[in-house]
Amino acid sequence: MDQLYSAAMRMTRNPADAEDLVQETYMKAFRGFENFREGTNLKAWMYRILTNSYINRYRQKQRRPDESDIADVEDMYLYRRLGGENSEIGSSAEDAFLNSITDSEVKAAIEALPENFRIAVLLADIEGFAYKEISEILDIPIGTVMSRIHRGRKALEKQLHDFAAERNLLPDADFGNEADDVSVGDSAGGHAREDEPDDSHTEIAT
Amino acid sequence: MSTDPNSQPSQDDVFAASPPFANAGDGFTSSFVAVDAFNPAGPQVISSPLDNPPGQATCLDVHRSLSVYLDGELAPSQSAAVQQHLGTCPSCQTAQAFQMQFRTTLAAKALDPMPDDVRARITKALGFE
Repeated sequence: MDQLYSAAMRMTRNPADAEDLVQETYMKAFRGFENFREGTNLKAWMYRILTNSYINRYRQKQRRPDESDIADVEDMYLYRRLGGENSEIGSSAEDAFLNSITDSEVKAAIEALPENFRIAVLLADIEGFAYKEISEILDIPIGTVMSRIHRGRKALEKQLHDFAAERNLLPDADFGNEADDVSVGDSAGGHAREDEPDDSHTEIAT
Repeated sequence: MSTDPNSQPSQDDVFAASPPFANAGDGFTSSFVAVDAFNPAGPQVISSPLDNPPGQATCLDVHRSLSVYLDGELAPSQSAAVQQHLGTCPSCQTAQAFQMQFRTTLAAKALDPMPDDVRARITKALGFE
């Protein structure tokens, strides 16, 4: 129940709705337990109920017009900006960053992600589900799962970087120039629809 | 790093089996092109088949696929190539160590323990009391 509550908190962003969501999830699970098939992953089944309940109950009132848009940032965003490519394992800048970001900042960064990306990252990185399980929980193709996780993680890294920058926690040296050169941000029209990879893979991969 | 230039890419990997990566079965490098489909508007500098022999990964390949590799979701042949590269590249080892530590930190700091009063209300509502 603790894990579900934590996930519900990240989804709904507030304790009252999280409590309602967990309660609704358990009620639906009890009522629908006859539909649970032995051999099915119970945890994944519960998270499927949780996610569907959230989507049905809360998504409509929270949805914003640009909810499915997310800025593209390059791979290894945070690592590069901490000077990782120029440092040894366990460098002070990286350790200092990881030690200094707060629980509140991590939660705020997750909650700042657009909903589709937030849930995918949550299920992968906090709850530890495999892509196939997330695909089944969200009833979306594995390719879409991968896309949402991949891009959601990068956006999350950027948000945490921005939090750290606001608190002057970043190293002085600017190791991110190279990455900046190829980064596509808001000003360059770098927003892409979250499901683009599914439609464009063939063209890109051939 | 030993590589058999005549070796054929595996067709039973997760990318080849998944629609978004249906064209990834034609070699290691093209699989990373497929991974780049995550970011169609982003960096387009990709490894060409001439940059690295089949089965070998460059630092760029590793950076692009590290996330999927750490998820344990990379195709076996690609995973082996990434692992092999990591075994010989201190820079990528550093990146791997950071990403692993970052994930651990993230998971630990994102948790919200359920307050006792909330637990009590829910269990009561469910008839557990």
